[in-house]
Amino acid sequence: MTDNTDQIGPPEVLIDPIDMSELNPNFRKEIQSMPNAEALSACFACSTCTAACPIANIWDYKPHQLIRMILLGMRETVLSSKEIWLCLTCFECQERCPQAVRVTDIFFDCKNLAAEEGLIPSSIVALGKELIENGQLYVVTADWEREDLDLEPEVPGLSTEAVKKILSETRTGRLVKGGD
Amino acid sequence: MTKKKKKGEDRIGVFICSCGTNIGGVINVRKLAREFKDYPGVVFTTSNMFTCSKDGQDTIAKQIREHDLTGVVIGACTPKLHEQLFREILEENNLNPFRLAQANLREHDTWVHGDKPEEAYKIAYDLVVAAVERAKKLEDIGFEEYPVEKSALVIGAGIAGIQSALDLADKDIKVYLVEKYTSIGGYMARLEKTFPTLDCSMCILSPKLSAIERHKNIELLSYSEVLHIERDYGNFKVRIKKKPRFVSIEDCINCGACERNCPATSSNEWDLGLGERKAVYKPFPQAVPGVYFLDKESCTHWTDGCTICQEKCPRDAISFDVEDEEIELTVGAIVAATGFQEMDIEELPEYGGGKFSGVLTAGQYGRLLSLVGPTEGKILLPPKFEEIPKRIAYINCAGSRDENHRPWCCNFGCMYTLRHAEMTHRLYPDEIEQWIIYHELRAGGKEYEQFYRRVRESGVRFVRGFPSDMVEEKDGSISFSVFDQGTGSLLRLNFDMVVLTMAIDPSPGAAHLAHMIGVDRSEGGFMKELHPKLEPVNTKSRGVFIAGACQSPKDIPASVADGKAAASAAASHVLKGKVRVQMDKAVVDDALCIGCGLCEKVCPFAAISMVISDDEKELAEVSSILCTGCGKCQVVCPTGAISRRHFTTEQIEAEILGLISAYKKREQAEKTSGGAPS
Repeated sequence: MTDNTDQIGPPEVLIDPIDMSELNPNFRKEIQSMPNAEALSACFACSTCTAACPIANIWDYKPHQLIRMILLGMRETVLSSKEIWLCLTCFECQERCPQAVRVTDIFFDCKNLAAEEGLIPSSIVALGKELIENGQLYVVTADWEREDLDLEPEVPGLSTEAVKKILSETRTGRLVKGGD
Repeated sequence: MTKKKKKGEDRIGVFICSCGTNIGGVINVRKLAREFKDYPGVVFTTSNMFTCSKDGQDTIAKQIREHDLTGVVIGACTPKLHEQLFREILEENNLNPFRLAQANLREHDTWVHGDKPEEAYKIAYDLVVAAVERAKKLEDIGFEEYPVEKSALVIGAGIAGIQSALDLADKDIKVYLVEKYTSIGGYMARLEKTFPTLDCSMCILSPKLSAIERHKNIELLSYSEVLHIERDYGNFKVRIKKKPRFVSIEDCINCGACERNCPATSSNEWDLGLGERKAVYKPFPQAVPGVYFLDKESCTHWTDGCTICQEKCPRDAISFDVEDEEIELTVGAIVAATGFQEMDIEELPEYGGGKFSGVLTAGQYGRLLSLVGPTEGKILLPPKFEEIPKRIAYINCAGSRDENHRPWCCNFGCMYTLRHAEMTHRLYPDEIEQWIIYHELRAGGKEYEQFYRRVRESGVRFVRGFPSDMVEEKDGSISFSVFDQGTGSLLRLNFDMVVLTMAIDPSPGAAHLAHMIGVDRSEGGFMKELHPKLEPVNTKSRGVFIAGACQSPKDIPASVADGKAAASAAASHVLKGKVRVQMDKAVVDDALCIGCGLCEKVCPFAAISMVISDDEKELAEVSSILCTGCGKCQVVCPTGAISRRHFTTEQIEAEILGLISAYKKREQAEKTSGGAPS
């Protein structure tokens, strides 16, 4: 029944408000349907997660803000935020949440959703590419380290072929190709 | 050891309390006690660690007997705490309880001057001297006993008053339950469900309503008003106006023919102004008394002579020739349980109150949820009640916790807002999107927090902040801005319906009633308890008790607990059958009284009246029952004819002279020795 063109509009203030039409009411359900996000809406905005986070000081959106944004339906802002990718996954927030909201796991869910929509930082894509091409992120080289430990130069039985195959045929492969 | 007492000789005992370190940690109490060894009139002096302990009590008792004391001076804490105990010890040892003078060395000295122990010691000495001088002037004062009527008046039949009436009646006390509305039940009868369990409100209330109607000890006076109360400790004379219902309670058979045919309508006050009702009606199906009622204000009989309902009534139950009836009662105790009301919505134009049709009070929203309400339990948009709203915002603390409106917390608003959200979610899980705009959510009760979590999990959106810039759009929807502290962003939200969790006021008429029963009022006009923690249902008027939301906003469990507590307090007052009144009151010396009437004018308790004496002289007369001993009359009396016993001018002067002499003595000693006195 609400016709936005018919609105009187917000008053002149220095901050531009976020209009209700920009909020996606289904976003919380979307997240909640993903693994480990059932308790999402139990959040009561105490911001313990932000207090626990070792790197939140450099974040524009703090962990508690991201959770509240998910609840209000700020889908685009959350999925395109750099913060979900900056998360160290140390699980401090999740450990301390008094309402058992699995904050870190919810950020994983956000990353998965964002990646599906191509909202993935190029550095992450580069890592994926590395994995598909080499089957590992850090190639073990036959150098003095192994020699010093009296080990044979090559890792015995190491084969990255299976890993490469699996990754290229699953989401990583799809994202890397899409990312290219 | 005991010397024979000479007539008129002062024999004062001085007991200085250390009160642990409260007094003893600042001043040397043993030294202070020793200083009174040779003080004129003092025959015994000592100090204790705790004078209020059994040890301390025994010491006082022993010395009263051994030295045949005429007065006891105790230097300790405030008389508010232990004066009664000390008086009892005096009485037990055959010394009149009013022969006690207590110097408050703790609150008046060591607590406030703890940083200057030397000065504190001097003040303590002065205070004890003043008390000794006062003790010399104290007189024996007796007690009188008055009978207490074995009955109680309960004013207001909401859940607190109902519970109080039932508990009193179960103790075999005759109860008169007065309710100004046509049915009892109060606010709880308006609710569909109660938080946090969401059990049906009427299902748990209506057994109590029926019990009120059927209890042999309860006389229900519905649609009645208290006109006047003559105050007394145990025999309150009460005048009550019974307004005419025009439909006979005895004859009405609840057929509803009158209501169906009535042509006159009025705004429905039971539904808090939503919708209309007929002039003859029944507010809700389980109403008690459970019969129809005719409202004279909205009926047109007295303007156009309409008699349709009378003609349609098959039992001739309706009669227009009924007048107000006044009845007089004598009761031993009064319980005021007058409840609360929502603040007027028009006081909140900033939230569209009274201006935007989509803005409702939470009370009104509660009526929409009621199966016997204006929409039969459906959530429909006013004023047409046709369309289901798509988005609802509940704004908590509307007018509450706001220095511009009502600075207090409404106590139950958070919880009933959660209840409304949960009920709405159950009725319209997909159709209605719900937002709760709150600032702090208070869920302090058994299982309340768990209920809050359940509502969060049901998908209601919570935004922390207060709304601003509310406007009504052309389509009738309502927009406002709110800065959400959770996300740290300014939102502009739009809703079809906005429900205000209104600030809570005392019921109309509470001010007038409080005046009649001699109860003070606190912030916002709520009735004031004797002590906020330890005497929550007692008041400064003996025999008058308060229960429920008339004291402060309270939810159902708290109101019921209050009702029971007030019943218990009122019962112990009534069941004793008599009340002991100490006679430390104002007395008039007829020889000095010139009949000017100043005392009568200033008396806040209406305890003084002017009477004509046998020799045709106008004289002031004090009712010892009503006099609280405040002393106002003593101050204004131009001839000194009226005096407040136990605080006579002579006694107060002795105290002041004691203070001055102690000071002078020290000044003298300092001059001669050049140092502080020992």
